[in-house]
Amino acid sequence: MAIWVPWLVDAARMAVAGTGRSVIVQPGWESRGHGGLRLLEVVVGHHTATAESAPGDYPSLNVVTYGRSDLPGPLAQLGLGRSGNVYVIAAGLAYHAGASTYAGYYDLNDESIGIEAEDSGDGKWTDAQLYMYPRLVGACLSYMRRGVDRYASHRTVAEPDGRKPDPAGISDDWMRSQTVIPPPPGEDAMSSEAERKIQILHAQLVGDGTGVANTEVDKYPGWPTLTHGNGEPRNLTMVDMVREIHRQVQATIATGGRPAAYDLPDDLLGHVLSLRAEVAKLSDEIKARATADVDEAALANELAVRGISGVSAAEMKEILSSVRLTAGQ
Amino acid sequence: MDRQSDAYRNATEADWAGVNLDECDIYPDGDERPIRTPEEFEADNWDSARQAPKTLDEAKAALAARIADPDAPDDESVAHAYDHLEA
Repeated sequence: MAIWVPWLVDAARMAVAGTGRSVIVQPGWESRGHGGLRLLEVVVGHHTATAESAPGDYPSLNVVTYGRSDLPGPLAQLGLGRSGNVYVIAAGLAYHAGASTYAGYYDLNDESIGIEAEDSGDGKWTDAQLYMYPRLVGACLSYMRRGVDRYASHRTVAEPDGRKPDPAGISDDWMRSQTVIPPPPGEDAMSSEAERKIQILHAQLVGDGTGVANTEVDKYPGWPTLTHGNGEPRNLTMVDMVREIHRQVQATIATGGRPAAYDLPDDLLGHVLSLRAEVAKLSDEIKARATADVDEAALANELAVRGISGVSAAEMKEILSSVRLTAGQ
Repeated sequence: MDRQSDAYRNATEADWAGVNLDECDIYPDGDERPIRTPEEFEADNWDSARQAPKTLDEAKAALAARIADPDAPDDESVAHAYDHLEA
């Protein structure tokens, strides 16, 4: 039993979607291989190290596909041309990794697929290749349902250490950071680097609510406005957050500058505002009464009606005048 | 340098000139033929024939078999490539 990778054309087409590049499929690719694969766990990156003088987009196509007289092909499943065009070569086992180990897997020829990118071996990549190589890696990983950690260069996997240099000038970290998991056609792609930045931004706003250990984002406590105070996200949008801040600022102003507590319930805030309005109304009434002209006879009558005998109308008029002075200040 | 590297480094104009795309199936960007998604392939259980990963002993045996195979690129220079992985 062996597996033949049936999705190479689809993955390549997903990688080039929206880029203007093409996918060139070698006839017989579905059954080409030194047998099938045992399983598929890793994508291995290569360069061909073909002479710079070799003409065309992918002059190594015949060598990768058919090998040479002393070495039958295929030598990789996929090729990447100088223009960024992708070549689909073989669905079965290709001699590309040799003695190799990676991620607990040994001898990767029949447990990985290889991408042979056209290059003279000195890292002089075209811009189109630097753009397309991570997209192609990402598309393959997407169909494999594996993460970017399952990409590795031939340099990394080759045994013993130092046996292979390829792909020259492209570090594993760079490839993984640039790897794009292509979206369905018609939607925009996002690089893993962009996703990482968004994760950090999210952590800065609401703390690390991912539940995934990640020292890069664990250090951010988040804004309490966006959480319930115990780190549990409230799932507010940025607009919600700005409105929340605006509401709290207004509440602070309305209560005479006393800082409003976070998360003051709306009904309690309503009570506070009602009481403040009542106090203001009473204050205005007192001022109106204090500043009105006082008729001493009417005042004496009012004192009598209210049964107040400890103070005369004249004394009361004097007290009210004092209040009037205070109120006028 | 192994034979895999030699295949590229020693390629000649005859190898390069032999590239002929006439029989290739070409999909330009925007080709309207449908693209099957990873989900569709997964639903089809495309790798249902997968086997367990090789053990170190199996890997050593596979490498030895390729070294002995004149049609494989590996040679004696990597015969002990996995020895340092022995427990």
